Amino acid sequence: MKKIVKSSFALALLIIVISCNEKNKITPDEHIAINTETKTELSAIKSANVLEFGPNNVLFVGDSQAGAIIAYETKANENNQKGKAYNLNDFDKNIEELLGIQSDELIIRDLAVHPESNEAYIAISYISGSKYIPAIVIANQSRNTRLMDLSFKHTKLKLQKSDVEDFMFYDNFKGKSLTITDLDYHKGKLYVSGLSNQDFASTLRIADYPFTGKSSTSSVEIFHAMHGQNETRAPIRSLTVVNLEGKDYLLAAYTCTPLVTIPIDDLVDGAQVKGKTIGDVGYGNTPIDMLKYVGQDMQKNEFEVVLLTNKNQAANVLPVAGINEANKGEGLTKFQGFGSFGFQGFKAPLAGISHVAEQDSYHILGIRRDFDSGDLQLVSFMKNLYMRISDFQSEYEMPGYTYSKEQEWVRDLQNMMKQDEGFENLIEK
Amino acid sequence: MNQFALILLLFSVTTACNLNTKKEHLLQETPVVNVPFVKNIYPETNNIPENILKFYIQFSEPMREGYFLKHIRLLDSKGNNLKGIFFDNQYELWTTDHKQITLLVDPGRVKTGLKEHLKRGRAFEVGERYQLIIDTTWKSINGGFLKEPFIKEFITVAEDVIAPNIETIKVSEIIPSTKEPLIVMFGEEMDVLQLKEYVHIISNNSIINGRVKIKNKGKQIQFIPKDEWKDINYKLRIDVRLEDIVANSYVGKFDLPSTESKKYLQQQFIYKTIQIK
Repeated sequence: MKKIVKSSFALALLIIVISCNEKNKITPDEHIAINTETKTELSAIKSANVLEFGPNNVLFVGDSQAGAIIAYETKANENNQKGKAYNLNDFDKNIEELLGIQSDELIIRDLAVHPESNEAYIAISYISGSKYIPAIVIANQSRNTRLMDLSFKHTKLKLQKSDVEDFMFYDNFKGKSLTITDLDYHKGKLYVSGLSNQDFASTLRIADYPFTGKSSTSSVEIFHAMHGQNETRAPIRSLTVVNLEGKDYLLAAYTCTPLVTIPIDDLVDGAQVKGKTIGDVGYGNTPIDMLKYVGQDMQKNEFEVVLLTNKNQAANVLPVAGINEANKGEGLTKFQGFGSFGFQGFKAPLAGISHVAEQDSYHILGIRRDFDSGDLQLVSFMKNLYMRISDFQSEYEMPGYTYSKEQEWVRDLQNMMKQDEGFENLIEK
Repeated sequence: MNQFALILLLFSVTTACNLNTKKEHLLQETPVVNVPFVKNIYPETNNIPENILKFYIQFSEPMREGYFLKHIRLLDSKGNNLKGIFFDNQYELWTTDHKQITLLVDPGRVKTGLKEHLKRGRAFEVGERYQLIIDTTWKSINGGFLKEPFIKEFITVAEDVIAPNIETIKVSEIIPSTKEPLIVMFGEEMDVLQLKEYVHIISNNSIINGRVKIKNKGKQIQFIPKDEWKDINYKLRIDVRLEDIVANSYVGKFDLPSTESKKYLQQQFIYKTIQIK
């Protein structure tokens, strides 16, 4: 009898599958919309919050909702506009058309640039049905915009279980979540900073890549000067690795905005590590991204820099040589006033940009909302100039303006930017 | 094939076809949007210490991300809309179901010695009355606006700079062969999210299953076991990271001078034996 019932179940199941199959079959058109809910459930991620390219075109995706890092082995797409600037001023239209959504149903999470193709990878969330769906949009200078297949070949590392418990409490009440704020790959290791909705803590996670299934955590202490130096417990917001005097250090930016160096050798599992505050680039500010690349001065001398972009003020260009000098001292140990103190590099006029990534040898790529129109823009900035000429209306553009002999270098720079931004017709001879 | 199996088979086919029909039918209907509302704001107490670090806003529906601060107002007793109190976070701190957001008071003003604190002082003034208002402009993911504004009124009291102490915790007795709730009293209001994650009842190093109810505005919890209590040894296990509402924990106070050592640095948990009645 049991056997008969069992066979009936199997037969019933088969009939359900057959009867449903015809209607649920994915048509080619549906398949293009890779991130339908069904497809996303099958994909590797629950959210895409932070992007970082590593060795061999591996794309690391920080998935806050799953409390995990996913590493995708990407392939370089052919990009015949490689090397040219991105000038996509109403880029939100491309994404909205691609996904069939309204502008207020889209959240931009992060930006990265493929090291080989120089295509932009944009982590987003968008509303579909009654939830946010993660996606990674790939775009290039020709507006070729498509979705990355998130079920593509990948490996995954779940961060320490106790840090993110993605479960419902006894009374259907969701608890702690982790927001991954930054991740950086350096010499086989991933450094991950995060914020919790529940604990205001300074935990830094470190994992080997290729993943071994394990990650370690260190608690980083920084102190502020008053009443005998009180611990901040502040979480790291943005980070990168710099080599100072032959030794690797984590350069971390915190809210409000101390710059702190932390010797990487000290970051062993469970360690309580003290960072050194080498500078303070301004209060009332939240750091966004840190990029490390080779910059140039006007004489074309190359030097390694870290670019720190900020939510509430202009960006800071931090030459690594300056960080090195600042790190030799004892750092900031007492209150010095309300300005900016210690090492802070120099300011760059990059403001109002959600995220930046290194595009190529000449460009930084940024994603931002236009102040007036609110349009989403995916646009390039020339390294060392850190501005777009089309953002300004100046006397130079007035009809009949003539450049004096002393201003010729200004004209040459402007012509270079005009060409880069697609205004060849405005180039001054 | 017996009669039962045949019925099952027929039922399955009918159900399968019905599901498809129903699905198509539903697709043609305008989706019903549940009107969202604010269920609560934590801490529940109306006496908020001036060094409060965070509030939790709990919604009935998953809500939209975006610029969260535009939906929140903080009024003082004169009706002034105060700015620069809550931290303009780059990342919105939602639970994974998007039903709860954490509102951080600018940590630079909570902690003594930081520039924001030195320049502007604490965000809240002792003795002053405030209204924290959640406006109806906030949309759920489904597109519905909040049903009505939610107002949390509170008065600011003196700072709390005393770390919680394990000795002040009182635990009721358990009664074997019953499911009588175990009551744990902390002596002060604790972080409600952490209470649910960081407090457990254990026996032989295994966590006892059950439900936790927050009582008395976070001053105590009730633990109702899934199975009846046994006549064995139970312990209350508390993660040392458990904080009171101003983020002082069993490790030490939130604003901890480097001259003061942290407690329980080498251990993750502290324990308290539970008596059997």
